Amino acid sequence: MSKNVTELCTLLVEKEFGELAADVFATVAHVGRQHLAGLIRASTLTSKLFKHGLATLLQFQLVLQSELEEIAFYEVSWEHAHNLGRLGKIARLVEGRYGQEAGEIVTTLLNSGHAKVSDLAAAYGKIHKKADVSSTLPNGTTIKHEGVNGQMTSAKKAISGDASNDDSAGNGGEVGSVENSNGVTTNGSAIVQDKPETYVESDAEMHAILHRLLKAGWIVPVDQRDFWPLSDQRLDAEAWVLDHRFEKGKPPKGPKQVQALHRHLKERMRQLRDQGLDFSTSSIQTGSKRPATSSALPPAKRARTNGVNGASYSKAGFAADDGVLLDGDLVVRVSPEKVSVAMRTEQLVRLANRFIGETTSKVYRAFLQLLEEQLPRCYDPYKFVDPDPDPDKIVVVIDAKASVVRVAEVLDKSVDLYDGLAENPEFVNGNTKDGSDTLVNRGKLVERHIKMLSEDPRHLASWASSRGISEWYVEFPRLSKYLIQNQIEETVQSRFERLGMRLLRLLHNKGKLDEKQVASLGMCRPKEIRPILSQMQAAGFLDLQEIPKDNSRHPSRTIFLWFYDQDRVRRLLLEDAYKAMARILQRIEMERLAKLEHIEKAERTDVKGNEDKYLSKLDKQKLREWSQTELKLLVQLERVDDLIGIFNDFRGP
Amino acid sequence: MAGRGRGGGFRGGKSAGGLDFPWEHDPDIDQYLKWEPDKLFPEIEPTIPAPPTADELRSVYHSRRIRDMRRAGPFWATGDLSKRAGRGAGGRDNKGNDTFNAFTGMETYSSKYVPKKRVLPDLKSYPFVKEFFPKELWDVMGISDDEDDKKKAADGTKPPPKKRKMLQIAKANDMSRLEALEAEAKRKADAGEEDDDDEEKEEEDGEGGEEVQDDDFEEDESDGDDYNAEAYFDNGEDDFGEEDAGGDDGGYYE
Repeated sequence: MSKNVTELCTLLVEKEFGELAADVFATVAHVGRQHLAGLIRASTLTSKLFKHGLATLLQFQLVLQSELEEIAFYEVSWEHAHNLGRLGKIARLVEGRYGQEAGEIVTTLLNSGHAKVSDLAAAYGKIHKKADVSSTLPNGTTIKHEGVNGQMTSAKKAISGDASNDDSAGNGGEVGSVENSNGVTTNGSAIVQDKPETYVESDAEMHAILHRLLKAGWIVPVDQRDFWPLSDQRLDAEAWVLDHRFEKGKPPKGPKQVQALHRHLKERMRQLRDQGLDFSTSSIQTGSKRPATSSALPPAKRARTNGVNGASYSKAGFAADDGVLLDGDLVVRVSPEKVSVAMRTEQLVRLANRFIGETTSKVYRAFLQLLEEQLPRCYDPYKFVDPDPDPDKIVVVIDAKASVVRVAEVLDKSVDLYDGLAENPEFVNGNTKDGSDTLVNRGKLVERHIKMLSEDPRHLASWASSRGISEWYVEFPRLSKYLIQNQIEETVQSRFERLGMRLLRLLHNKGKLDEKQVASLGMCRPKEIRPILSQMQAAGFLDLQEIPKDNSRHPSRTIFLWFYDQDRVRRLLLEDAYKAMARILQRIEMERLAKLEHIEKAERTDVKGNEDKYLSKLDKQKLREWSQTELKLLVQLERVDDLIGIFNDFRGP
Repeated sequence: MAGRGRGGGFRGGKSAGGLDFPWEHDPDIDQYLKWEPDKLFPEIEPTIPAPPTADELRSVYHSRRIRDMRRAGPFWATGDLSKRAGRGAGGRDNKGNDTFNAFTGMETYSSKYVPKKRVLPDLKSYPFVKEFFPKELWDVMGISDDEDDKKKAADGTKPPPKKRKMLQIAKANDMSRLEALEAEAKRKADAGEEDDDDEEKEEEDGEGGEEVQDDDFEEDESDGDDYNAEAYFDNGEDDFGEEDAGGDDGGYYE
């Protein structure tokens, strides 16, 4: 891995796990695949310290171990290490899709790497027990949890006293009134006496949430193989394939057999990866009374709370009585691949918002979130490919599609679908009367929005079939490329003005051109573009190819062609992004050191809880300054991470 | 930049360095292109980033929360800090310089309240899934070998009673210390004003506006380290009165 990635990952490990783990990680990253004794020899740490650090890293799969030989070999996992920069984002994305309870469980999982379901249940069970004993409040005391600017989930719930009747359908209306009428009082006058220790109310609910996240692919079962490096997984699969698919003692020979080997290998890898997800083998669920809902959004028939932007919904959505009970021995973790899928959704919704409109972008979000559930990862290296396709047929493989009715079902009712469409009904502001709010009608409106998406020059959606009512899909690989190009253009524009971006687009469109052609196609004088082209070449966005007309290679007898290589620029910007992230983390540390005196004072055990008494005005001001500086830097970190998503994670190799 | 290697020769005119190029030489171009090497620290005009969106604030809130949980959790460990350059006290860095800072490094009375840095992660209290870990690490992880246990049972020595190991879980709304401080500051700032609209308040205070849900600051603090089962901090508050009365420890430094 490149120097920048190594630096970034080491800093991320240090941020999350402290210096010991970072030192161990740096050693393993530096030395490469090595056994324990070799690693300890290479590091400055003592054996005891090193082993502790290594165990921590293994728990989070930041280091993988190989057990194919008798001695265990260790290797770092860049994928998991890089994901450490996304923890907040993961929690936010899950929370936005599945509610606060799910966000909490995912946070717990992120915080423990992987965990057994039984251990999770025990930890939550302990809390629930405590809550039952301590709860002395009168029934129906409602507590409001407010998200950022009131936009996120505002989950309301009766505290554990009457938890049992909480998930009834009547909750919807009641909760709505609470929010509108007493919302301010509940929050403002601080009757909040007993804040719940956890949003997850019961074991059953925990199992239901886990099951739902499993089905959607946000969390995945872990087995021994997940702790092996990819090379070991391949070797293992290869040995199996040679054993089972070929004659013993006869390694495959000739191009045909080698091709067959590759095909079988792919198949085996896919099979091993997905076997844990096979719900029919009942290794995951034991005793599901009825299938849990598989949608990211609550089914339309259920009563919904009127959340602000529809991202929130009542606890009834999780229906604690779903009766799903996961196997206690099942080990789960958050899937790092799924996160990119959700990040891609965010980026595409942003595109739709920018180029088409807000309402359409909301429809698009609902549509993409439906597709998300069918897509465990952005790019599947082991995807099944027809070995000898029929040359006469053009086959479009659609991984995920959704019908407009489904979109209309899951779309928040408060979205005014007439907004952004050319024609408006006679009532303004989408006041819904006369049955115009029926599902069929909304489905038709949704279809018009999706058609707008597909008619956009970027073709954000594509038509799949019209079985019953129309179904649509999204060409993700093409759009991922578009996102990359779009991002490169934006970067170039901010560095080299509009003209630079225009030239880059021109070259992207036309291929290799000499200077005169660039000038004439770009409709500017050669004098204008020359400095910009040279600067862009120096920055690495463009390059020059020399084609000698004869063997003398004399410059006057040489043609010079400008060209733009998207993949090269992508890699360039990706490295820049890694470096930028590392610098931001270092900057945070520097800013912390500058205010260390005040931060450490606030952390003292006598000061904690008595801040008013012991902290001076200056202390408080410095702490506030530090908090705001850190906030700005962390926000920037999030943004650079979005870039890494675009440049690296949405696309295949 | 074909003529670059020839240095000044390029500037001469149409034929740069005696070579004919297929393009005309443009004397103006020199003002755009710098021929000298880049400065090590070029002056960069800082761009001002756009204000954070609600989603970004929420992400940051979560990442801070997870980090705070980690710091209180079993895996956070600093290792032997004296080995790391520029940190700790009494140690030496890579170059052999003493890392002790005479200005801030001296022990004071109040340093007894400074939470101790944990050198080793507290792995023994964590419920590991032992099948996933190589046996060579089991001893530091507090995992007992079943076979060993069986042997001991055969010998007649009882294995030590096993305590149920607990996962650390995310609590509903634990605010960090700094957030709590901010919330408090905000409450004070707002105390004089009419607090009729929540949104307005949050718009005013763009930075601190995240996750201010529980104004009861004191209570929050006491609950804040609730999940810290290992009692990581030596709780100095209990013996505070006694020690202070003794007086021979010197003054009370802050």
